[in-house]
Amino acid sequence: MALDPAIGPDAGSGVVIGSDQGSGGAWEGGRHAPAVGPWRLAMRRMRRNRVALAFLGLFILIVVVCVLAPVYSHDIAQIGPNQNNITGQVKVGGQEKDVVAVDGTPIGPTFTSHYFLGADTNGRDLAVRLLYGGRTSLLIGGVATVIIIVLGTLFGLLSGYLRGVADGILRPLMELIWSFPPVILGVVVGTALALGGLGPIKGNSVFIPAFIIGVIYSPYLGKPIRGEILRLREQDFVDAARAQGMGPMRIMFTEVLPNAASTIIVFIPLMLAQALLLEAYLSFLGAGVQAPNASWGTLIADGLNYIETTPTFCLIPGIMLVLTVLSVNVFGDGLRDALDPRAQVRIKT
Amino acid sequence: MKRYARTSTAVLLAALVALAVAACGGSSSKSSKSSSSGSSKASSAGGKQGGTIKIVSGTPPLSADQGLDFTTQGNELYSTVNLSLLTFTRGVAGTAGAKIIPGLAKSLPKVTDGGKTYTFTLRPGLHYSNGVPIKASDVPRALERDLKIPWQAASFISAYIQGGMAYANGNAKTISGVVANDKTGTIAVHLVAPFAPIVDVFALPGTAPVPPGTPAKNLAATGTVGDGQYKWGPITPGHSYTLIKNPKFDVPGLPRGHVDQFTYSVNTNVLANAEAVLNNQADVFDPGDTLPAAVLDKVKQQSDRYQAVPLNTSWYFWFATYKKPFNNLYAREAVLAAMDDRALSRLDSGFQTPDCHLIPFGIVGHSSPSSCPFHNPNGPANLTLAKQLMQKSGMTGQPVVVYGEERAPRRQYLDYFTGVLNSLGFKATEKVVNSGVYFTTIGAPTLKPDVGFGDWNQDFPNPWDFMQLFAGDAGSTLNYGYVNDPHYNATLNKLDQQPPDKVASQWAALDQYAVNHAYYAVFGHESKPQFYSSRVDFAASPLSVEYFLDLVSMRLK
Repeated sequence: MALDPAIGPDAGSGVVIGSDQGSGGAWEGGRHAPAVGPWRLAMRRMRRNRVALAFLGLFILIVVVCVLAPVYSHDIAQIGPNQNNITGQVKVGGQEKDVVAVDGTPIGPTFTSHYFLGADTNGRDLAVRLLYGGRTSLLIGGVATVIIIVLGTLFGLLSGYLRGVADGILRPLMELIWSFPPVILGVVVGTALALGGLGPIKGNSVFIPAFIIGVIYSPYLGKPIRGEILRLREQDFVDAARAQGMGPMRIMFTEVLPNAASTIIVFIPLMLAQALLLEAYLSFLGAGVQAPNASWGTLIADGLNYIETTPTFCLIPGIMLVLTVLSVNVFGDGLRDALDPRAQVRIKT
Repeated sequence: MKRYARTSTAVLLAALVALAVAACGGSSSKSSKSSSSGSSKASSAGGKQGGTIKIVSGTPPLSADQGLDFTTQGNELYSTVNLSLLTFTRGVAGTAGAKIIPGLAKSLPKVTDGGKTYTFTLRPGLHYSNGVPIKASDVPRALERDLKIPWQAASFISAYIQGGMAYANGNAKTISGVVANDKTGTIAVHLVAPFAPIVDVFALPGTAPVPPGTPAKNLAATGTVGDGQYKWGPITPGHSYTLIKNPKFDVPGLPRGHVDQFTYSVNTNVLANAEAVLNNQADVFDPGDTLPAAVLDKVKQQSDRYQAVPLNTSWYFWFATYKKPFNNLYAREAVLAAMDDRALSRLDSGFQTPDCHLIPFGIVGHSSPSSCPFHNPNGPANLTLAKQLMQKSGMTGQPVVVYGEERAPRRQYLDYFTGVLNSLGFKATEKVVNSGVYFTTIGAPTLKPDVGFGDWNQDFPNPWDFMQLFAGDAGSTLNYGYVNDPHYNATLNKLDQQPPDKVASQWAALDQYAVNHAYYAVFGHESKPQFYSSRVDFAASPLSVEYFLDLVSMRLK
């Protein structure tokens, strides 16, 4: 019922279906083609957007490569991500070389299975740490995005639908969090929680930065969702539900929320990209992922010391971060175009 | 969406690279403005007089006030502002630079009462930089101020001078053991028990007199009015400090300083600091910082303005010896056996000389590294022994939190040491603390951490200065592992009554005793970089074992 374009707010989508029929051969042999639902229509639009799909592929590739970090670490590099090897040696071009020279200079990229991208000052394999760092960054980004979606949706739903006291409490709370620059707020809270932890979660857990990022960015979803809910609650289908005797909680979760789903879905990649970036900022500044664990942010910070002699140390994690965020953003744009009825015009041109 | 499709690949790639570079940030300021300026004239001694020298440091002093601060960085600066009754030789490299000579006092103190009373006599006609005459009673005022603020090394006064503890606890109005006579200019210091290092304490800037009216609070933004070769100029606490030559300084036999002004700027990016000196945009790289390996090759090529200078420092890890798992001797010994001092030296850009003893090479009582019991400091770790000891200890699987500092190479040490503990079977996790508050944090009585990093630069050339770090009853707040060994304490209290060179072998034996009991895991003694711009007269500006930067001797070419 909720997604029935006939009575829901996606009635607007019905117009889109109509116009899409025009472009997609609505008349087949003089007969009406079967009705197409908005989700199927969105999928159809998405499939046509090759650039967005290519970047989705890139993102999936990055995720898969990072997920396979233990395989690379164990079977190829044969060293763990936090395993020090300062006085060790590695064979490069038939010659034994120090992983870390006597004056403390780590070996640069060998482009072999061992120390492919070189070592850091502690003799740790940078390629292994890059992949593990990616896992950490993606895990934090993913968990933070889930927190953002859950908290932001709850904020927006309760505040927008119930209004009154709930809105009076939740809206200022969202405004308060919103008013702080995310990086500064993240550094302050991250530093404090890194020392003391958060309840049963220890200070060096990756869930600490995930939680911080999730809370900081929840108003960025909560506020637009609230606006959407305020619009939806005045629609006829909500009145119809009320007339049927449905309570506010049931209306919120079975009538209003499904109709706001497309808005929420559009925000997922956007928030994931923001979460990945904030995680990198915080870790770069020492308030995110705690040593000895790696993330792309910590690797960039570590590599900064070698920017002149071995720029790849900071450039490669930087590029990985940029590629990931870019792929998520481009895919997110495609998703928005697919779910946004007005995007129809652009797809047609 | 179509816009992306139309965007050229070239633009995308260019943006990618630009973003990646931006993510890495910038490494240093490229200002070409010269840092050295000011008047200059040839001196009769042949070196240039005047000018400004710009020092760059990665770490600020805790305060410009010598009544609070006891950091290496602070001592470099206020040792030129606050001259004490005694002082250390200036302008001399090596251990000879740690010789104690009279400062405001006419001569070295007269020792009576079996080593329990030290009497100083002020030189006549001394003045502060503001022209106020210096009186004998200014010395006890300074000591009382030290206890009120309190000075980071206040235990030197409270634990060893009669009435010091009572004053510190608010049970007395004065320190009864310090008696000053303004008419005769004498200051008599009565000790609780004979304590030879008190001579060294009265050479520290923290015991320098302060003029009447100096508030007993931390003057972080102004420093105190002093009596030394320099006086404070503008200060931005934590960021920049300025020293201006004191034209009124005139103490016979002591150098007056050569440079008109020093500016001391703090930038936590040590690499940027090193590059600034390399490019002559700054004049002095603070020797308290570690030269990053990334620029070491380039710096080493500047043989006319760079050298590594062995100074009296010890770097170590300490253990909480009163609780699990490090109340177990085997567990501590296992850690010592598993440490590879050569690896730790490499983390410090090769500036560490591996050793297991706390008393460094330049101090009386040092032992040879060959007597290290658990592994050869110049060889690999003894992992076989380490695993055997670990098995004996029964501490496998014990959780341990390792504390360390944020700045390089200390954080890298933390990573290494945590790795060693985990390889032995502990469940070790790290706690990185901001360098500015690290020692305050781990010294907090409420924290009582398991194990962590420590380093110590000499306050004065006496083995007691190092060995007191692990004393359970010497009033030390630096004993982070709460080591409390009756034999250790008793021996320390016996040896500190004698001049060190008379009991050198006993100091060495005490150090060896502590190593054998694995109370600390010393891994080396650090050399410091003497690295200046090409404007500074390198030969005439040696590093001091006492002050690190000897600003009074420093001069421009």
